[in-house]
Amino acid sequence: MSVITAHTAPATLSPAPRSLGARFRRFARRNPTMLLGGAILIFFVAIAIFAPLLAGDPMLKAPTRRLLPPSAQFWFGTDHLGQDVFARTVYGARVSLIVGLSVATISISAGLLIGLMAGYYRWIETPVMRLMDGLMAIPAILLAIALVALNQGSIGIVIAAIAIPELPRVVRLVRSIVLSVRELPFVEAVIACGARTPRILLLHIMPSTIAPLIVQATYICASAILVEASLSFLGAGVPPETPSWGNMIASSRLYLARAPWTIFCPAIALALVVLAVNLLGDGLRDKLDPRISRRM
Amino acid sequence: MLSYIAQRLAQTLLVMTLVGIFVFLLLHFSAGDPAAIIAGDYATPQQIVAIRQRLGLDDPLLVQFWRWAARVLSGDLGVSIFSNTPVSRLILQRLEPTLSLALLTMLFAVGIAVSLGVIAAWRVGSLVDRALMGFSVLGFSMPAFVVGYGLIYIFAIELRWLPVQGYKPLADGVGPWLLHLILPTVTLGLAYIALIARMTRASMLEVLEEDYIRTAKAKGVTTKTMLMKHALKNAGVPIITVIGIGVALLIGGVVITETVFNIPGIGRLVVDAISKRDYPIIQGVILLFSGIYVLVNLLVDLSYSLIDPRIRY
Repeated sequence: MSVITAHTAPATLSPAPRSLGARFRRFARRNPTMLLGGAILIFFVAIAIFAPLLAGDPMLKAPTRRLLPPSAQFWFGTDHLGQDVFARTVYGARVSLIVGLSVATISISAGLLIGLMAGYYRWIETPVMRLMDGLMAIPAILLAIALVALNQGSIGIVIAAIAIPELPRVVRLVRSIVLSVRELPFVEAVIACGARTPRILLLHIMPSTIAPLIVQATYICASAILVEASLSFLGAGVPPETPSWGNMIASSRLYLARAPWTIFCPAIALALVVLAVNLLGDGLRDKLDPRISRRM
Repeated sequence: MLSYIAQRLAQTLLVMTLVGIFVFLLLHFSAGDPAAIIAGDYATPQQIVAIRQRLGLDDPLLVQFWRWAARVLSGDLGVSIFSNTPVSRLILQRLEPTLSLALLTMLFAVGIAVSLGVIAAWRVGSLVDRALMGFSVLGFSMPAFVVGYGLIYIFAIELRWLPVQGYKPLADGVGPWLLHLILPTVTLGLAYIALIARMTRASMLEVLEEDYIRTAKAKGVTTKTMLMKHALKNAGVPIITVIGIGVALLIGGVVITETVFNIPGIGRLVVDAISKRDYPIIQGVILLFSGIYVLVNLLVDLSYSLIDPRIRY
């Protein structure tokens, strides 16, 4: 990552255009992936919020209309219980987005707190970092499976079970930033001025962690949505009757040949949302962390 | 060098001890009584008391941990609640499918990913490069079960080229074994390929800007020698590292892929244990998989000085 100057484009050469429309067009030209990811994501957030207006009852079972192919009445067809696949897909967006956002928020804030402490206080550093090494050695999905299997599966448990394995990466990231920032002259100056530790940490060191953490948050959000769907698919996720994309795919898997729409509709929605969040993350990384952009 | 190995071994031991403590405590700090969890949903209070006594759950936590650790170290991972069979035997019975799938995927994925990454870095900005970068974002965004069902639908149900599901042991012949593993391998390998290809490309891009690459080109070395001998060898350390880290991805993927393709491996063992709440199985498999992951990464660390003689300890 040493030779970077050749690739970092001169971002502030041309003066910012005045009108809102012109500024938006310029942003879109420079960040096509971010725009695409953002647009898809906004679409799904809107669907999740306005689900009751868009779709019928996702839980309504009607044996007379089992495994119907997509039609004008049922856009995505019906599943083996006669449930409306479109309604379930729309409501499934709620579960995925809630899990993604909550996991990102929880693991980032907890990781930030632990990382700040571990980076600043030498005596906590070793035990905390070894603990994180241990946590990192357990494959995330297995740890989450164990946590969910031991407790009654609910959306809260699922969120905690996904957030805990994400913690070590955030702690490591924050700690490494703290370690490099705390040696900088301005921190020394603040210490010399007699500022107390919480003030130094929150006001002077934490701001440096924000940009990389925003990027990390989007990646955690994407991976949380994937893991939630995987857990639900494996039967260790949100309760089985909840309309979540993983649950839908799991319950329809015997009907792949007869009714592929029951699997591919939620599957495409899932892949689109994760793709959107990843694209947004890539765009944010290029914008906020130009040091590694263009390379990875 | 020796002191470095000793240091890394000690570190590995510490990490594994921590994993052991986590796995042990999981059962004890979960909501509810471990005896009740082990007894299952339909147990009578007497049964729960009996289990509590049999497992020594009334002893101090430290005593229990010591007893458990001693057992695990001697290879005893406990007994399955549901089938009353030792967990280690259950794992051994299901080792072949999982090992076949994992090793085949590693071989296939590393081969493809490294070649793709090298080509993309060599022709940076070209169609191949952009296609690879696009594919890798997609590879990270598609859950294994979505890929798996997509492949089954296209190649097994519509085209009928490959078997839908199942596993044939190696003893039945290499042909059927391989045929049943093609789709699972592609499914499992996709995210792994995306990860390794990206890292190969990034690492190669950096090396290709070095002076000695310009020197090699100037003295008329063929492109192939320049890429494979001068560049790839020097770009090797980050690539090997990510191959090791990616094993975590493979382990999670094995559980899902075996479920999608109905492969009777260790992943299926865990998934079946979830619904039966057969905790000793989950515990045993977590320990095994974490152990493999930690061991692979230890070997990766130790291999650095073999790949790159400049690294000395």
